[in-house]
Amino acid sequence: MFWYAARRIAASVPVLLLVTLISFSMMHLVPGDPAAAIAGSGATNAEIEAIRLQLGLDKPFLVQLATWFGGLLQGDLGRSILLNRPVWQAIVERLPITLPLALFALALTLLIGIPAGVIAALRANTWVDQAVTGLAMLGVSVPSFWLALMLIVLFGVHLEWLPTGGFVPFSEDPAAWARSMVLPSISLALLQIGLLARITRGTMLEVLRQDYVRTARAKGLPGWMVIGKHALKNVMVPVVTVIGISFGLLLSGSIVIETVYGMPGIGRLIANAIFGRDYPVIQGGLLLTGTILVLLNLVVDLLYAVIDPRVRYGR
Amino acid sequence: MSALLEIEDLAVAFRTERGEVEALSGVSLSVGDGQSFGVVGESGSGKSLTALAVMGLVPDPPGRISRGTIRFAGEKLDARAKARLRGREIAMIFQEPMSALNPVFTVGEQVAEGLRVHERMSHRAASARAAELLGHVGIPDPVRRLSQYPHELSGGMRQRVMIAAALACRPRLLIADEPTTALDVTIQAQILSLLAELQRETGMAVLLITHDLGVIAQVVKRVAVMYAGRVVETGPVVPVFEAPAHPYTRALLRSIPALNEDEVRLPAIPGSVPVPAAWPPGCRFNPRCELADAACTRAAPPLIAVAEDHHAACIRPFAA
Repeated sequence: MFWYAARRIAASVPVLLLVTLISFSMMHLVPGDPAAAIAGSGATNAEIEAIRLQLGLDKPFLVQLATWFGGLLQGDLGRSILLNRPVWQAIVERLPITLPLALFALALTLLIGIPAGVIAALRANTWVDQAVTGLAMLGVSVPSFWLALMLIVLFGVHLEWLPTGGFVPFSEDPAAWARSMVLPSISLALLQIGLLARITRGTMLEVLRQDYVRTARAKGLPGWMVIGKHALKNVMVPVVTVIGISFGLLLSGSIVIETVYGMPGIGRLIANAIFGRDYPVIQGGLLLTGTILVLLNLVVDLLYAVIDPRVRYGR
Repeated sequence: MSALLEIEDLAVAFRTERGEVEALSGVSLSVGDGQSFGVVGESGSGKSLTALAVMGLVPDPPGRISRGTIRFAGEKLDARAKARLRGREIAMIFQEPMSALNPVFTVGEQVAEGLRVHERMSHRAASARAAELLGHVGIPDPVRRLSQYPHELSGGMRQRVMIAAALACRPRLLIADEPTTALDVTIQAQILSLLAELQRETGMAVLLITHDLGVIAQVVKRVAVMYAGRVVETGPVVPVFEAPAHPYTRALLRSIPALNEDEVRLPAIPGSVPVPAAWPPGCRFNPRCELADAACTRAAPPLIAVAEDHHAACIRPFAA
């Protein structure tokens, strides 16, 4: 197990380096002069020159690369042009919005998606299965902005149970903070619930056909043990992968959901940066998203080995 | 000897797209307390299905027991009774010890869990007993094996683990469904003698299911030969094998290669067991039988006595 973990961790280092390299190259993939592109079409030569100096674009490529990596090691992602403050600070400020949203959505996904998939598999080809599969399909195919709007109309406008949008910091009013999280989390989670329920159902159906499930029954174990212990642990192997990807996507922030609910999270930070050609922020966002996904993959790989001992060897 | 397991007129049907199809049609057999009983037949003859029906493990849907009764120690078994006896009084081991063991749990866990569930043993006591059982079925260094996973063991060791898990709660009947088919010949012999030894020691009855006639001859006292969902011949193993009365049993025995003969071709039975939906009328062996005539297609022949305690389902059995 130790060597497996060590190998996995070592393997993610080059990927992380590649992610940083690609984030850095953003600036140089811009056709023409990046400084001119950032400054916009109405800018004077002096303004373009100022940006060039500010971003260090006048220096040789390798010096720029060294500066970028040097900055990274000190936690410096550069300065935002639009916000006129360090990129790192801009991201950290928005984490209290995106992180709890992602965690709530993940919790909903796990608590609803897995049981729904298991129940559908156990009642395969009955109305229960059809209902779960149908709803999962709906969850996957309904556009999240539409769903978000419908939830606002129903719970915010008609029933007036929950705010129609906006974010209240936890430190200001914990109850209002929690209420402001409900609808966005649900809107974010629905797609993931649908995906996870379908994967869980399919995998469970396959596992239920396995000989070891028959053995568990032959041993006279109660049904909840056959399903909840012997079958479920095998189901978790592929399901953990899906959960890892889902959580990665949730953490990168959702532009649509954050916009509809007026939550200034990481998704909107990156969207605004793209519209305003704020390259340092785009770079930082790309780096953040890429790093999160690489780290989550690492966690998933380690979880694999915890669940399935065969993984610890071989590879 | 009183009967421990009595199967009477057992039929199992499967729902298919073209209506219900019987895969087992009126199987009767009786296993005495402490007896070793063999069921032989080609694949598709319904021998495993008989075992699954006893265990209450026929996949439902699409299968169901459509007729007949199963008694265990005098008690008529319904689904509830089967669930109660499974793993305690009646245990079962399977053909593929690799896929029959759960890959993500340790060997110790898989042997001990039955003890914890059925005998309410503590974790510690169940583990200690599991180690004892592993040692008992001939696994060296059992305490260390407890924490190993199935993929770390050889095929023969895995089957020993299966046996240890099955014997954990001291069952009165062990059903062994092709327990040696997936193993090397030398390992087969070891597993068979282990089963025989354990049977002597514990006094349990064994229902051994196999397509391997050599295996049957070695270890069982009585045998039932199955073909296409029916028992075609039954009796003590010596007369059945030395003076087979049913043409199918004869053909089956003839198709065993003998080591001392330079026979060029083995007399194989032409054709194969038809699928349940395509079973012929009358005696189901008639299309493959060299002695069949029109009378054989009219009605299913009942089991008739051909000698004392020796029955065959054929309208013109070979005389002993």
